[in-house]
Amino acid sequence: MEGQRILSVSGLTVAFGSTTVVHDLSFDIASGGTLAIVGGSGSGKSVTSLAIMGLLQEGVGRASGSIRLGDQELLTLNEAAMRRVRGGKISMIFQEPMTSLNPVQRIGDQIGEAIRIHRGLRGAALRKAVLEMLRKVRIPDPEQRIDNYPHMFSGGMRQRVMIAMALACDPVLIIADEPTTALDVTVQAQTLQLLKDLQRDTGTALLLITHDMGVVAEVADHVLVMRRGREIERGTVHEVFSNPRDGYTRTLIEAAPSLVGKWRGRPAAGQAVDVVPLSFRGEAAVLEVRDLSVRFPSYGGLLGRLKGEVRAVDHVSFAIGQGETLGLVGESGSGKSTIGKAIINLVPGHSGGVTVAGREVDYGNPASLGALRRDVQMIFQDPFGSLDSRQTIGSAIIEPMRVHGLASGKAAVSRMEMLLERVGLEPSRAGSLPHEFSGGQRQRICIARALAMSPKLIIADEAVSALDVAVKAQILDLMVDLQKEFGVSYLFISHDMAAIERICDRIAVMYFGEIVEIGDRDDVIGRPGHDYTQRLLAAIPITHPDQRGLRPPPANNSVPPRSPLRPVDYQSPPTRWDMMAAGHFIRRAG
Amino acid sequence: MVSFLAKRLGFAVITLFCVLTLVFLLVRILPGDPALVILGDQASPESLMALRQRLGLDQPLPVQYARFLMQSVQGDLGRSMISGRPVMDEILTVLPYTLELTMAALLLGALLGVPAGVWAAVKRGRTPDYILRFLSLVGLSLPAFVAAIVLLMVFAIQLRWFPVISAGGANTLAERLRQMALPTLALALIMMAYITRVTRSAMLEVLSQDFIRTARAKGASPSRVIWNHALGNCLIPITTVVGLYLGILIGNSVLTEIVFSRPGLGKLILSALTQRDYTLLQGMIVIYTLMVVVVNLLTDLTYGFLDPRVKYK
Repeated sequence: MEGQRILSVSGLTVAFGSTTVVHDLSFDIASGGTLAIVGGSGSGKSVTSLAIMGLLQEGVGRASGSIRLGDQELLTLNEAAMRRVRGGKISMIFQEPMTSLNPVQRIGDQIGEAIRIHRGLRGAALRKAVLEMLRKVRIPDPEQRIDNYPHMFSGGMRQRVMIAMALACDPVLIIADEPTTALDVTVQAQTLQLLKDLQRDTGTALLLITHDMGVVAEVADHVLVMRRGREIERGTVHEVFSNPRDGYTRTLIEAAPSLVGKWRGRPAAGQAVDVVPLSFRGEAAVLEVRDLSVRFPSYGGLLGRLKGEVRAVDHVSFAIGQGETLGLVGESGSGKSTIGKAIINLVPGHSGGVTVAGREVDYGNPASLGALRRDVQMIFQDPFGSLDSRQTIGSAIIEPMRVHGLASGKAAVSRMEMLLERVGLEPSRAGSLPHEFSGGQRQRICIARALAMSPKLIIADEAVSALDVAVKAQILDLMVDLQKEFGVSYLFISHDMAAIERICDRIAVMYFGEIVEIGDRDDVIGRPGHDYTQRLLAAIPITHPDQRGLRPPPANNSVPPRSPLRPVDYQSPPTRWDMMAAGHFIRRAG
Repeated sequence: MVSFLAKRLGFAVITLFCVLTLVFLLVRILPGDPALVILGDQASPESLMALRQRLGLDQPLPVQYARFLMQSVQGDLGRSMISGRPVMDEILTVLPYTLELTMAALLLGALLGVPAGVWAAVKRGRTPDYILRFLSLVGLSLPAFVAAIVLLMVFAIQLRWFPVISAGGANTLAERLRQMALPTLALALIMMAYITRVTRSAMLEVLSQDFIRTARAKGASPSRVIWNHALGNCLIPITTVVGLYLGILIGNSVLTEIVFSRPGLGKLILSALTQRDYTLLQGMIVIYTLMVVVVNLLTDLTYGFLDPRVKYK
């Protein structure tokens, strides 16, 4: 497996102006080998990869030390010679498949560009080479797709296009910077599998930049952990996972979902039921959702006639007890966020019944809506976008209290200070503006703002998804503590199984607008009943490299994507459910 | 696509209808009796009455309005009160001159403005950027007629490189181009200033995007990255600005034509104003509106060619 040394970096230091972001970093990669550089944001891992590519912004970032590719020193290479290396000998896969492709060029031309630059092919030969690359990365219908534009591809397919582009000129090294972070977990599993297969076929070395130890466990042979621009630990993947020396490495490893993968076998055949009772923990339900549907009309044709409707959410029912946390898990487009928004009336066209704290919500009645907005608060994913950048955080927390007439004057201020303290921030910073805080601190501010209303329920929509692993754990712990203290319930919407597992009492699995499985956390994760839940859990990366090969490889597009578009008069078939255990229900296929 | 076109054409018709109505009312609100204006103070009541009858001014307003609409739809904008020739003929005789001038100015402005904007963006924060930004600011602040007068004084009167009067008597293409050079340049300066600024800002935004990094990571040369990847993504904002300012350009051409004594809509509108030729004036307002509406429609349609993500609904 280990071949000759392909890339050796020694004493690499990168500085932006007077700030040094990478300190004295050294590592080697052998041909056919995979080195993972792991770290949180600001660790310097991405800057390292850009330095190797010679893509640090001219005049801003400066790299010193040595980066050798074979026997060629890259740092002293002139720009023209470096261009022959870029895309030819070293190529790169970036994180965001949505923005990393030129939106106004056909994907065939974009892949072809690299081939034309480095292999000099033109015309029909070029097209043939591009088609071959598309086949290699298993894009269906390559003859058709070659002339499509990036927006006609899904995220996973775009990342395949990126991979095709990276592989097009047989590079000796591929740098993959968070290649699967923006993808759904089942797509991530397929993409990682594809990368592994292609690496095996071509013998290319791989430098993987990631924050996700699960991805490392799946594909890397060597690991280098970085923090604040310095190496803090390195070793073979088995050494690092089995005996992490540094506390930070341990935090990263422990962030992986722990129940997942520890299957307790398939559940016994269930008992057929027609209606799923609204079950919850505790004495009273804080939230009851009955037959909630959200439909968006879809227009088409010459006169813009109603063509059908997109059933973003289709007949969803669940309940949450007082002080309970229900996790709503699903992939992008499954409708999980839409449910949260529909409950607080942020999307038009929802139907069904919602009861909050025993009162049926009348969405046409301002008084009822006012009560809803007091009782239910929301925390969003983006802690940067959900605070007004020109409002002090103290005023942001006081504002809802004042709007709803809960408190004013000194009472409001003292409550605001109490809340800041409870979420772990100094009350003296109430006069600061959002940009003076880190992402994790801003999310704490958002939580304080939500708690200001003494809500019965907080809807957390991907509330920790944008945060670094260590910060994520702190915020989740904070949410659990606050729940104990204030007795608030959470509807925790996330695609992140580790976070769901950590905080939720019960879990509902969403698939194309429907709940396909609901039950206690240990039942759903430990004895998943529905096909989709099983697929979802099987796609979550392993937690230790020893588990490699124990699971069947992910099926490649085995399930054709379903269209949520339905004719206007479409009647959903009656749903049938199996009860697997008390409160654990799965939807029957068909 | 078809339904988009139908919808947009519908909007265009509504816009034109509104303008026609507005023009009709404005002309009726203006003080002064058109018949009195045409015939002068000395006219006898009989001849005034006869003229009013001939112009249809004795009819009740709704009847006048209906007739005005019917005629406009048929392309009949009435007759000039001064010359007696059909307004449409008057306009069509000079329209080509104005279109020629505007198009040439637009072309020149884009040919100079786009590269200038790209250059400024690439050299951001360095000398060329500052110089170009200063020059474009000057171009924006300088009224077209001032630019025209300065150009006229320097190049036509002092240096005598170009003719002072730029119309008529040109037999060869070279002579024609020589005649057009100064007025085109005067108009193109503003256009160029606008295009430079919008290209620069669009380019700066695009250059910081991920796919530019992807292109560089592929080993593409800087010129390929800029002209092939970045500029293609700037064309939408540039087109928007060009579409928007084409209207301003047509307006600016009025003064330029007057300075250079060129025939065109500008001179026509000036004489219509000074002679209180209401019918000619209202006809010209309708034609200007029509041009702006057509330009907007063309701009919208251009988006579809520039960006595959644009869908017409």
